[in-house]
Amino acid sequence: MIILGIETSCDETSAAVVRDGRWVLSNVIRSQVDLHERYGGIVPELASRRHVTTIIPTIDLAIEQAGISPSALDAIAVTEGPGLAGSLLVGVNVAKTLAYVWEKPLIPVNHLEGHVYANWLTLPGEPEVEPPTFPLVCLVVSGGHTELVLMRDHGDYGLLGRTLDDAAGEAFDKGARLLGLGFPGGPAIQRAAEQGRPGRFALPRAWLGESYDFSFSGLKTALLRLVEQYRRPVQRNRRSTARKPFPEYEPPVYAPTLPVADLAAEYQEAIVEVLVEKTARAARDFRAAMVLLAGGVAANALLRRRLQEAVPIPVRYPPPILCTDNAAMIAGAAYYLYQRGVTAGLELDVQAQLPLVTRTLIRT
Amino acid sequence: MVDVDRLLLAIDTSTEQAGLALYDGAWLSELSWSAGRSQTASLLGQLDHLLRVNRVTARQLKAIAVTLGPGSFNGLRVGMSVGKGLSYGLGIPLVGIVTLDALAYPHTVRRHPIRAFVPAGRGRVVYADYHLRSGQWVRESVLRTVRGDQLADGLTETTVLAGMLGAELAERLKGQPKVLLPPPSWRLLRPGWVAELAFQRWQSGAVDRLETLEPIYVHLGTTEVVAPVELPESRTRAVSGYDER
Ligand SMILES: [Zn+2]
Repeated sequence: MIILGIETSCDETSAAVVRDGRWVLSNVIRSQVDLHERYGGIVPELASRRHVTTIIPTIDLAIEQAGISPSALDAIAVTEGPGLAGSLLVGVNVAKTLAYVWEKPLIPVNHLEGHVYANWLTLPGEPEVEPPTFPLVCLVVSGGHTELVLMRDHGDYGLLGRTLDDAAGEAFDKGARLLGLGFPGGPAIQRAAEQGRPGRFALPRAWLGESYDFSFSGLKTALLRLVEQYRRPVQRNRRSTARKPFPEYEPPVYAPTLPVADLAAEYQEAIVEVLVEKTARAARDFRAAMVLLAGGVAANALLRRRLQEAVPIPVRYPPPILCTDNAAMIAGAAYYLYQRGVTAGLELDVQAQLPLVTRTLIRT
Repeated sequence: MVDVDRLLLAIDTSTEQAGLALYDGAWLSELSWSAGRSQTASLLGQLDHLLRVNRVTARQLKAIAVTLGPGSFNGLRVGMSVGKGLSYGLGIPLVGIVTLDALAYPHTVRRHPIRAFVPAGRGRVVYADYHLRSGQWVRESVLRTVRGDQLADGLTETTVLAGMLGAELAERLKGQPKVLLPPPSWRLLRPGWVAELAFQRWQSGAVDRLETLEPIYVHLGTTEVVAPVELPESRTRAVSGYDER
């Protein structure tokens, strides 16, 4: 079964063709990092606008690179949520329209489910990836999400915990902004931390008792307090008369003594430590056969290493190109959804707040 | 009879009143409904309905038209996404039409200047002025945002106001000097007007590119006039044989 996947939930425009939920035939990703860089974070309205111009060339290229014609497609899959409403609706409307005129089934996919299923995918020319083993615990961790999921079978999810405030990737972005390290924050902090030593400055970890939930807003506030004492007053040029609809990021100016590397190292450590501890505990508590990482922050080297050290079972994560938001994971997850009869009609709408699971498992 | 060799579909989701039209240069079928903010959920179902009642299929369409705005940002993106999907999926051309041009179009027969506007949220409207110069209708390049009750400010000659207004505001504007306020059925954007403007453009060989065409986004400032938006020059022509002379 050959599925065209379309993903526009945040700031990447992506289209991909995947066979049987496992074999990536093409995976085109148009990143918008260049667009959002100067704002120090994603501007939802600008992200939505970029999707409108890039979506068709992206789909066209994905079909061309897969070496097929549209008539060879068996279904069209699209991210229905969660994500930015204005961005999601570009992908959803294009996907519905193509399914309508090409007379193909339409499969709605939860973006988080897509991230999990990136672990089932084999890229073109790469050795075959063995399907993960159930039961498994998956940490979906990205700029928009931090969710700890128990998966006993295809489609059988239990939400163990999630962030109560900022997502882990968002925490990286905010930290990087405070430290003047640029966007996106994850790679920027990781790079700066390489020269630094964690522990020189103490930043808090939010353990939240026995729960599997996360909280990162306190960490950001603590970092803000530390850097405040190094901040230099700056003369901002306020003469501009034109009201800018999207204010640009103005990096803070600090005394040269600001220990950027050490702060970045401790900041990264604080995020990773909590993620690892809770994921490892969940794996033990639910006798998981495997731990999966998914989402953009899964590319963080420290997180991967620490998790591997913390559990005796295999830890798996997708290659970087499948960690970031991409449509191959949507087409992959769609295959398993379609096996269970999941399709959508022309009335499919975007769901910005779509949860992965509506039930929370009771700890056993 | 529908001429399926020249069948054009027009899509308008600039405002909460959405519209679709099928047009072949002579025959017209329209559908207009209150979509609110759920254009995504309703647009394709309504398109399917319009095609079915006219006994044509999507594969018989030969061109797609879509309104470019100004209007609701997300609304415009819905129409543009469906329009591009149809154009790409069916391999047929796409033509963009400025929403205000379609609103002004039917009033070009009256020979008075026209001020066409769409709601811009928070009681404001976006408008453009249209003038007849040397027998040719010309739209000025600047789109302005003002409060709805200031819509008639600065008019120097009798001007047609074209666009939807709340009943109370319509009543107030009607009494102002230099204002010609047509009845609501002439001010509500009819998808057929979009179709007709687009048909003329398409037949003259003008089509837009899927990788560059995007809506016109006009921002609300706290000031009454936002930075001007330059639009490509566009002229609308009085409907021949339908003139009030
Ligand atoms: Zn994601």
